[in-house]
Amino acid sequence: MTTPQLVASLSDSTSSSRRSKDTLFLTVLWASLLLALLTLAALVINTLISGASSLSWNFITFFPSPFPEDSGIQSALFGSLWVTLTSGVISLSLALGTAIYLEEFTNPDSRLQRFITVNIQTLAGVPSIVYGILGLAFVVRGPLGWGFTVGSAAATLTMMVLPLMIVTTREALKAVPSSLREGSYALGATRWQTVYRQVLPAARPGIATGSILGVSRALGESAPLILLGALAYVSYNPTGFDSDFTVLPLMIFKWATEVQDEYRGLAAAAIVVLLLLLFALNAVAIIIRDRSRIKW
Amino acid sequence: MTTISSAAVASLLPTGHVKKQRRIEKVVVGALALIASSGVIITVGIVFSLMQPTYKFFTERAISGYASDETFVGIEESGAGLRDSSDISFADESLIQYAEPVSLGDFFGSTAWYPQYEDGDFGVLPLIVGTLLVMLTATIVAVPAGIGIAFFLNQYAKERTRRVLKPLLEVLAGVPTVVFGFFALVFVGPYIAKNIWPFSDVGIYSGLAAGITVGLMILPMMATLADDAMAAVPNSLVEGAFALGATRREVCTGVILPAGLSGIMAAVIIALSRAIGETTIVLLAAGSQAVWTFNLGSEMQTMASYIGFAGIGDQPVDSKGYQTIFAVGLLLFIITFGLNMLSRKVVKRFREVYE
Amino acid sequence: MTSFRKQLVRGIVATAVVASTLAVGAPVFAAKSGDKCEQRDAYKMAKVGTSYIRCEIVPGTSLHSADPKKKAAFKWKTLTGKTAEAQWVMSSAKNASIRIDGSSTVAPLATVAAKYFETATKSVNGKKGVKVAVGIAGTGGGFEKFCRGETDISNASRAIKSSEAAICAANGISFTEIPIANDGLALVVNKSNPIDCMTMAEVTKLWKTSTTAPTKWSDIRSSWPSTTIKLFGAGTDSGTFDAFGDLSGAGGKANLRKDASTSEDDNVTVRGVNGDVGGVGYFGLSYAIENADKVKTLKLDKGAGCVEPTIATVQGNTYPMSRPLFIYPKNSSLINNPAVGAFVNFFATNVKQISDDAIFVPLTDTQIKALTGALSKIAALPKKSG
Repeated sequence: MTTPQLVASLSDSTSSSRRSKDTLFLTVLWASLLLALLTLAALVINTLISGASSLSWNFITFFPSPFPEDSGIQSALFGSLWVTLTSGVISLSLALGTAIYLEEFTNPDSRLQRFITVNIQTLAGVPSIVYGILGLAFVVRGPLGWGFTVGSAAATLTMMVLPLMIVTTREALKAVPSSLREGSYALGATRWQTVYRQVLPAARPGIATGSILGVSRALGESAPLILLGALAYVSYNPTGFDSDFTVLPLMIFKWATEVQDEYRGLAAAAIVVLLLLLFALNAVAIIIRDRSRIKW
Repeated sequence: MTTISSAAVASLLPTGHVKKQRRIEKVVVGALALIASSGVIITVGIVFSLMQPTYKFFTERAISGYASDETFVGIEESGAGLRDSSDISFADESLIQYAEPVSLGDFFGSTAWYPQYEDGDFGVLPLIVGTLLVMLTATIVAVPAGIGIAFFLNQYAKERTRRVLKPLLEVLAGVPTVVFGFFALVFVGPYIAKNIWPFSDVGIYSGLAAGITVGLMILPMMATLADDAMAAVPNSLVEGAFALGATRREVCTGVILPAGLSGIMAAVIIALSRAIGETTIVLLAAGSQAVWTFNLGSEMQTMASYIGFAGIGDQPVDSKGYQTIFAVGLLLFIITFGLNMLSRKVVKRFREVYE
Repeated sequence: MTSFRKQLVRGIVATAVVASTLAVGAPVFAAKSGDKCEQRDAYKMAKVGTSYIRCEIVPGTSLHSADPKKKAAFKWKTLTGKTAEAQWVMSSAKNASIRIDGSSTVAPLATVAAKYFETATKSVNGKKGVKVAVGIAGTGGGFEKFCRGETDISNASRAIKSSEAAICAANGISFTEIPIANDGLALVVNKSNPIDCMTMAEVTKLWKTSTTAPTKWSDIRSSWPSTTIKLFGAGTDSGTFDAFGDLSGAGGKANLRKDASTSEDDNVTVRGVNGDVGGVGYFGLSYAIENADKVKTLKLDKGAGCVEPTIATVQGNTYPMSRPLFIYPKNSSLINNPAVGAFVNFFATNVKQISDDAIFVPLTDTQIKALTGALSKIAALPKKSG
């Protein structure tokens, strides 16, 4: 509607047609809202119904097995732990370095900053499967040749999560008021001293929340790892970075494609565990964010 | 950023100390710059890793198999004599079969996609059409509903409701794609897709089931981004419209939508590019055959799900089938890159300046 | 430290303690021969005094018996003679990992063997049991990895080709071919399909690539329904695809129709055939038996009447689409990694029970002779000590 039309309709005195349009509109909005809420409800309920019977302490401590009755997810849990923690640590370090460099040591609006920023935005928009291809070509085969191991998976997920981490750490650094920095300079500190002793500690909650977001993204990712050959039957926890592995989302994928009904329950139970883990991670992030709300 | 000249500072401190700090600073900045270049390195890595095998795909021959009339080793033969590596005679060089490089015309023109067969067909059109169909379905599901939710959050919801709804949306946004895929397989496919498609019979695998589920997956993202776009509309405009007697609906459609259009369009494009790149849901719900069809109720493959599918089954390295992973991957990368650029141009072009 | 940080640290420490107890906890048991044990303890071994006991299935019962009286029960049994010592030695292999990849038809069999082997070695060595990973890259893909040296054992649902052996030789990889079980390729259709039996000529007509390839069931035999045919096939890199090319009479896999939904994963085929009224697919017999409630297995007629795929007809080769299954251990793994040799021996000596548990057709007597021959060849390989 253009402004003249809007103004014209406002002086339109047939208020009942306006009101019925209003109600219709509101109904459409409620329907949209319901779509989202019902999806969430259906997801949760469907999963709980299928999976509740398979959930047990045994489910977490057992390993996958050709016999569904004593299958469990221990190797997938530890595999996920190894892969996501490693990629979280490495990508956080890289992201911090990049963010500090961009925020503290380059001029805003410089061509370098804009170039790197555009680059990172592009990377953030790349589908996750393409990172899988990158991992397959460079890390699994190609120059590094690490094969289908924990190391390859961690490297691939690091690359995938890095853009997100860079964005969130930059936001965290940006949120630190410049008065803090300027006070530090006034006292004679160098730029690096300022960053290291003032800015970073102040940005810590933001960085922590950002890294938890990155880790939960890595935890739930399945597409790139499909290409990294993690669909095998692996019934032991990773023994090192050169070990075979499996992760929770792939365990779910594998069990979801099995035809026997018992596996459907296992897949649903594994989904419950995955969702609980993600929920716990997010709760921690929220707690950190709320607890450290410093008043500037 | 104001800095006091280090010379002034230096005059107040022992010289040695300042020199040391400056040296440390140089090293640190150098290290940080190196780290910062990691982002650029990854982009280069992606493009390079995709381009080389793609180049080979279009220009080089690849070994596609070996012609041989080896007899079938049946149950009796397997028990007859033990064979080990020294017993099996070696193949003749002349038996090697080659697959010709794929021409661009075949790639973009043919409608048969059977890359894993020995005399394969490499027409990527079925994958492109499949991607478009799934993406369109996802858009129809997510865009109107997402904008609707955003309107609701923006104009109709009380602060308390917002505080409950926003986290719920975040929770839905954080659900992993494999969970949605499972949901598509056990719920959307058998109960929803099967029953609402009037044009043909719908089997257990369909683009429709995949499209609906992908739409549901991007719905929270669409809603959040649209909400952000609407929040950026200056309050003065909104309050002005209310002052003129507009209802909330009229404010939404007459003021917020046009004013926030650039942000909303950018949101749509971002959601679209997420939908195009979605692998797991489509792999689980839409089947594993690249059918050349415009029927949403049929089984189909998208570019992303083909890559996942090809990755599970191990193709011989450097065969044409293996190279298709990279060729299709490059195509996918180019398309999402293009959409990314488009969204940024759209924001710049349509942004209404109010100040 | 702020109180929040203290709590966080405590929480992390607590989680670490719980996790480590989980990881460390090994049950101490004192069972004796004749005691009952659970299915998940199958193949656990223990030394009681100077003799060995092992948790085994009670003879006459089976994991897959329809008869409730024959439902699987497990008991500790004393092993006697040389086999006892041999089994104990095999189970003492420790702290190594074995990589197996290849055919998705053979994978369930290898996975059951792997599980039993892991249970056995864990029971003897505690947490230092052998770790086995089984992949499903397909027979061809498996050989590729194998000939690059990436795997220790390759599963195959067809014999290795000389061209593949050439690649292995070029990379210095030598192997031993071991027939491990048999399989019948079951041709399955949707449960609502009235067809019961097909002649091999009709099978060829259905699956061979041709300009007049049938699109409806009635194109093959006019008395059959006119539903549209939907083909589901095995992945093109799989041995099943290869074998089907030969066994279906199409004259090799290059002659198979391309308009089929293919997947490396037989579950996709089951689901596909189950979900489409005109669906038809093929996979190993064990999948057909396991999913008998979801798909219908056809009888095949090679001229001597309709034959149903069963253990007897496959072993006797009267079922037209019968084939042997193989494992190919790498000789250098056998030499350098004692666990691989132990696993292969374990697999081979217990193959009858493993085949039964995984619903595979066991080896014929002639094949068992070949198997024993293979084992002695392996035993003759120069061994690394320890």
